[in-house]
Amino acid sequence: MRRAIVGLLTGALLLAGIVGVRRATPGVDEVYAPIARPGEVGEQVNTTAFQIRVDRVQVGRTVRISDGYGLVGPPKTTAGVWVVVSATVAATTGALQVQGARLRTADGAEYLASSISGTLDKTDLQPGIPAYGPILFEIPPGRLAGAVLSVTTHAVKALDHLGPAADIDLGLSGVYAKRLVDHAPQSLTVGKVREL
Amino acid sequence: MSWRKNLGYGLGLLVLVPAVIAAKVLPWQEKYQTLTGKGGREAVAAHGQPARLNGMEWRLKSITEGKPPQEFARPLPPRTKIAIVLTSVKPLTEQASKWFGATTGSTCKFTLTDAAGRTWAPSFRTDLAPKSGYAASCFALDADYKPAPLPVGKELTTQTVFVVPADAFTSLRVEVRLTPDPGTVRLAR
Repeated sequence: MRRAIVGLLTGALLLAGIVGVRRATPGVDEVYAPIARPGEVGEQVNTTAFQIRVDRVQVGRTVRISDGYGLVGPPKTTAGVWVVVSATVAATTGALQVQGARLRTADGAEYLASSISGTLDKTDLQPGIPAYGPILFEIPPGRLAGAVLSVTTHAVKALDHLGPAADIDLGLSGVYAKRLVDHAPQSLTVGKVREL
Repeated sequence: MSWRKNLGYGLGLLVLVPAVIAAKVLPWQEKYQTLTGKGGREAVAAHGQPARLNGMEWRLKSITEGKPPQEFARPLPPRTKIAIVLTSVKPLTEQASKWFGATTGSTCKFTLTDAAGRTWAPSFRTDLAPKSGYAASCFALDADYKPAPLPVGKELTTQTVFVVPADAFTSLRVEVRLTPDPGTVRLAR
């Protein structure tokens, strides 16, 4: 009788162990996720493929793109707000683009950078030639608080498996984010990318 | 169990384990090479020497510094130089000759690499080098501008233009990545 109870307990323990291990095992997305280096606004984040520093975060109701000759394009509207992240990026060893720029909000939603051309995420970056410019996002105004800028080299996530990435805390506390949205200018003019 | 029998099992494992690993890995090798542009055969040539790969002979003719664009053109990034690269290639075999005329699959990708291992892709700007009669890539074109095989022994000279940091200019070397038979040609200056 005693041996049977010990056997049952051992079996139950092993079963619980198996269930625990299976639940703790990371999923495919987690196992192959890009290797992200954390950072914050004003701090240079070094990945194996690129360096990035976020210099400024602005919010606007519409944006207008200014070219290098002082000509300003028509206002671009959005159903939400425009978030303009101004950053400096440099490729480390090989030519690349930081196409996988996403704004990850506190609830886990991710917003890929706008398709507007001429922004930093669509610029060819060559080693030793850093570039400064805007990355544009459209998001619902209520989701700005706690947003993190996530940067990888591909817009398609499957191509970024175990690749370089930077996760930059934009310092958007609830109060600060609300103030940015409440005081967002009707029109925000942003410059094109320039090589430094 | 005698030691002879154990030896038999041991030898069997020595054959089986590598075979299983190879069967698992080899199917992925081609995908890895296609996705990363790495791997495959390599040919390295010292200064002034040709490199032979896939039945082709590659030679670096020159890397010269280009003149900065004109006053009203888009300026170069600060602290950079224009590198104008002339390379030549000639097929040594019939198969290599056909490679130049293939309409699908045959590609050559030029890059510059410096002593620190940094790599640059060609510039898309057409105003950085004077117009030349050289090819822009390694394709031979017939009178109708369609890809045509390059006769065995005939040389094709290609001009590619790069913008590189000024501090990299002196240590540049050329790399050509070839497909579909993956390989890399490295040409020292």
